[in-house]
Amino acid sequence: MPGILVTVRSLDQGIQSVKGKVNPGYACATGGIWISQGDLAVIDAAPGSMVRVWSTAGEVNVPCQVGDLPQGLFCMPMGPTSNTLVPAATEGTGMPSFKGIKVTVEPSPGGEAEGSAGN
Amino acid sequence: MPVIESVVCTFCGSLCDDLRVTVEQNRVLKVGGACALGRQKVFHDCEPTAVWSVEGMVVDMGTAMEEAARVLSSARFPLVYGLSTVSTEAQREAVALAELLGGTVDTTSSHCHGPSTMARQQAGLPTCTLGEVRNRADLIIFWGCNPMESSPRHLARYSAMAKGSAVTGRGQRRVVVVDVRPTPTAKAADEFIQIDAGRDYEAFTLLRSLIQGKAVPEDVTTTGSAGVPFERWARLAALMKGCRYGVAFFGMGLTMSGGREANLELLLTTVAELNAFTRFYAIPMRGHSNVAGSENVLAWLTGYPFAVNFSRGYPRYGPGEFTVVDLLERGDVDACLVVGADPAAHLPRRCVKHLESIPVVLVDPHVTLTTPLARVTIPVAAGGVGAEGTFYRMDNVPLRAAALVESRLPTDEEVIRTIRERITRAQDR
Ligand code: SF4
Repeated sequence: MPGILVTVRSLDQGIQSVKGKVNPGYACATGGIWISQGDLAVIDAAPGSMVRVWSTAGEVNVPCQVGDLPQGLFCMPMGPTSNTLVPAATEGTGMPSFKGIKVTVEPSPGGEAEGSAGN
Repeated sequence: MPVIESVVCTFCGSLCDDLRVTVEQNRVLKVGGACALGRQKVFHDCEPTAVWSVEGMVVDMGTAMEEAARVLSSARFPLVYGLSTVSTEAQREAVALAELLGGTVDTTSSHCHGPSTMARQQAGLPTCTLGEVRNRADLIIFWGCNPMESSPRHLARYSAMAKGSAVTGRGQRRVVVVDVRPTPTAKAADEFIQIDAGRDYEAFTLLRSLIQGKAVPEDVTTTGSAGVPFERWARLAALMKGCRYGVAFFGMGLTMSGGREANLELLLTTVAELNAFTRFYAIPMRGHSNVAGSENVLAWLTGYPFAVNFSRGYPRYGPGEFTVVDLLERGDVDACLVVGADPAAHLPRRCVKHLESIPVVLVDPHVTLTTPLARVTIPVAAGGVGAEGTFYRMDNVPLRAAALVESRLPTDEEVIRTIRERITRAQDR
């Protein structure tokens, strides 16, 4: 389903970043997506399952969790995984759209999590 | 055991300066008074993990410095980037190096609050200190920011829950959050206005009209604005006009979404106009410990806050042209000095791809996601833990952070100055 992705700060992401970004905890804290209960039902995905998310900039396979969000809005922690989906265009400001990215989300066809956004 | 009092935490822009750190035999044993982020940061920074290396091989300090100087001085379009977590003294050296190289200096500010700084250049910034917020503010608005997760002590120390002299506690303040989702900060507020993503400009337009007492078209009074019923905006406008001392904290929900600097220009204009009725101020909710300092230092030295290019021998300012994301996206840069930042973790993937194709010199206490793509890595003592220095709080108040332990590593300032001196000496030969 199509929707809008907003990349956000989270406490866990912050704590893991100061434990060391090369630790698996950081990849874990920044490698998921929050989706509303209603949208999970629409795409027929269970919390904890892998979903495929893509934008014009790239694509990731990440585990999903239930988020307290309006329908059609998805959140991912800021970090290398979500940055795969962020287009680099800045509209002359220097600032790319880390928030408000048009994405599509669907259940992963048995895909594995990408440990980081390295592709 | 010796306890150091009034320690400044150099993790986030709140720069809490009331930590109590127990140090024995040059080791930090206990960090009191910090939030989880600050405590973890102090322990992490006591043990720098980076090493002196060139192309993945461990080398001595002199070899790494020499290679860094060679890489940067042989580039045609070098970029000096990062600087938001290092002292103002190091930032000053970085600007001098960029000027010597005829290169560009840009900071992480360009992809956090850059748009709000651009708005400030148009509309001004009616602002106050966090001390005034604590003592006087009876209306606090958090718009597009979530300090409960990014700056966890902000609410207790400076804003919503702080015990001030004129406003003595939470019961005397009204707290409003405007955001696209119910964040932990929204849950701690008296009122939460859940706005549609990317429609902030529309909301500010309506608020401004309401505050000025202008007529609002009937379709807006019927259907509301930005996904929020009209009555909620009318109530917020009345709260803003009717408070005794209001403060709007604004964050990346505004700078990173559609409208960017235009959102902020309207917010700052609205805040300025509110001063015809009451006292009202705005403060950017800044993330990194010295990102505010980076803008101050660049502005003192070049006249511009970020995105400064020296290729013509004088400073030129160019958001969208000399900003890191644009430079890397276009592939303009042919060498990059990264100081106290982790672009591989925080920039769009396309930008990181270009960094992978050019020589990168990384100055950082730790191994980060940028380390594997750096040709040269230079470890440094962490500011506020292994090195002293000046840091600017989010309200532009400078604070002196002391070193807590003695480090065997040089400071960022010393490293950048050494690279600059090596380049100068080579040029003079
Ligand atoms: S709120 Fe920020 S400055 Fe204060 S202790 Fe926490 S991380 Fe440090």
